[in-house]
Amino acid sequence: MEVEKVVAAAIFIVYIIGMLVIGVIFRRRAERSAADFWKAAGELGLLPLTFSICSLYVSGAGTIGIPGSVWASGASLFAPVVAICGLTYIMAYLLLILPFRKLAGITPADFLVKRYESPRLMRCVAGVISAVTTWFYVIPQVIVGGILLDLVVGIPFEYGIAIISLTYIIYTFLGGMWSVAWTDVVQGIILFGGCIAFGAYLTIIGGGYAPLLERAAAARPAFAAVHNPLTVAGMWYVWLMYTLAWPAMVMRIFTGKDPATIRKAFLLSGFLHLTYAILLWIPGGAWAAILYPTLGGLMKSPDYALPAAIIHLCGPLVLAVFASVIAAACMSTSDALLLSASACIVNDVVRTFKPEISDRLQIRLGRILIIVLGLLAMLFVYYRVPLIYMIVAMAVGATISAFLFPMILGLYWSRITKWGALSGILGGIITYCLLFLTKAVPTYSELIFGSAVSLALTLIVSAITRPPSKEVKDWLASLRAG
Amino acid sequence: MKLFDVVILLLTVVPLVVVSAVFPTGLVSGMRLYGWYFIYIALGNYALLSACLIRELLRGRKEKRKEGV
Repeated sequence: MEVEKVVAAAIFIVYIIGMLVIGVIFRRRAERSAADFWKAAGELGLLPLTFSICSLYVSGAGTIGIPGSVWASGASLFAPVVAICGLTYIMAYLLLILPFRKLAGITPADFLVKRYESPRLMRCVAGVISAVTTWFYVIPQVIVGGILLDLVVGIPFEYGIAIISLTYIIYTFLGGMWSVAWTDVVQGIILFGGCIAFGAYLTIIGGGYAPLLERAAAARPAFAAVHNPLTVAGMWYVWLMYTLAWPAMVMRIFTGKDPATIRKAFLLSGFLHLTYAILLWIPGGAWAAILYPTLGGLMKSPDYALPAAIIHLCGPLVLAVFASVIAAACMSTSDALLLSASACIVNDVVRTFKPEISDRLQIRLGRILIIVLGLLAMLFVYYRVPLIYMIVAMAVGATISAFLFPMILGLYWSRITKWGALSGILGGIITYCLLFLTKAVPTYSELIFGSAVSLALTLIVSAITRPPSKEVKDWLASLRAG
Repeated sequence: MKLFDVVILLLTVVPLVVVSAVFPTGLVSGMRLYGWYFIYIALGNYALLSACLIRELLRGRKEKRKEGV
């Protein structure tokens, strides 16, 4: 066996054992109550909270998938995505954290239920949509793990997927949000340290940003492609609104120990995310375009762009080390998503039919769901899937189409009614899915139309239905005050 | 919402919408200009994040001082 494969295998084994140990350490703490299992009892400090927020956005799919898509579609399509890396956290900082923290719930449905006085219908609809889209996002993370183990250690793709999946399923099962948060700290330090150092190296040896981009465009003309304005706008919009409407991200607000810690954690996440994106995504895709203008050899698909560039520039030994960085990114996102999807099912869907469910039963159900949903995601990967980035954008786009306006308008405007919000949620997601499946509008712009329908329905139906009660208006005013 | 929030929101959305529309859709082309685009993006984001973080730190100090009194 070659040296680099032995090194990569050793790093993976140590890494996996470390993650499992964290799961075992937090097992008892997670079993204290349902709040401990789902949201670490709302006691997370600045360090674990910052990394657990970042890990939702900075995923394995992003680390591998975005440079791959930059190679395939050109730098211009992802320029707006880089542009909002800090701004999206500022949006949450300004609009969401204070009112949601006062709510002290578990999932976004807890807000919707109280805001729209709909304990069953709203909880069930919001829970089902959140669980499905969140679970869908797990799939590309697992694919990335499989690609890496295939390239670096030589383990066949199918077995690699199983190793990665079983690891995060086990530690999430054991420690719930506690182990998700503390594995995120370890994974975040490895991930950001590795990506920022490696991205800086890529930029420096390319002679700086502009010369690197010029060389990439000369080697691969598709790198300089321009895109439909609607596609660009959709790309910009989906990632700007991510922190406001993605259920797993909103759930992070409930896990921090106080509003000041949560606000700081969101802002620090913005700094980390921006630095990582600027240094890694575009230079990674540019180097792949220079070295591999067409598919072939190590470039089995666009998703192999970053690993192939690393092997070419630094050799397989560095890729072996970098693989642990990407594995960190895959697992840190997958565990959080898996926990969020399970929380949405137990807290929202199950509680619709059984409101007084005990803590013990919640934890037991949550653990069963973590195993079932984790294994389902693993099995789903074995079927042929499109470009990694497409799946990510689709899952997030569908969720934002549904929830953005019913949540944000509902928070800041008391005239929005239950039926307005429900029609906005359903109209938004149905429009998005129809446009996505029929390809009737430019790629990535489905979200703009989905959101527009959601906004129109929310406003029109609210205008013709009975206004919310005075209690709801007073409650909203108290959430926004301070 | 306070004045600070409104100003930061406007600074966040307006200039970046304009710049993000101008470059990727081909209204302005040339890979060298893209280098400057990314520098603008990075500096703009860092400046806004720093403004919010400084505000947060000042708020924390003020609250501590109040508690002290």
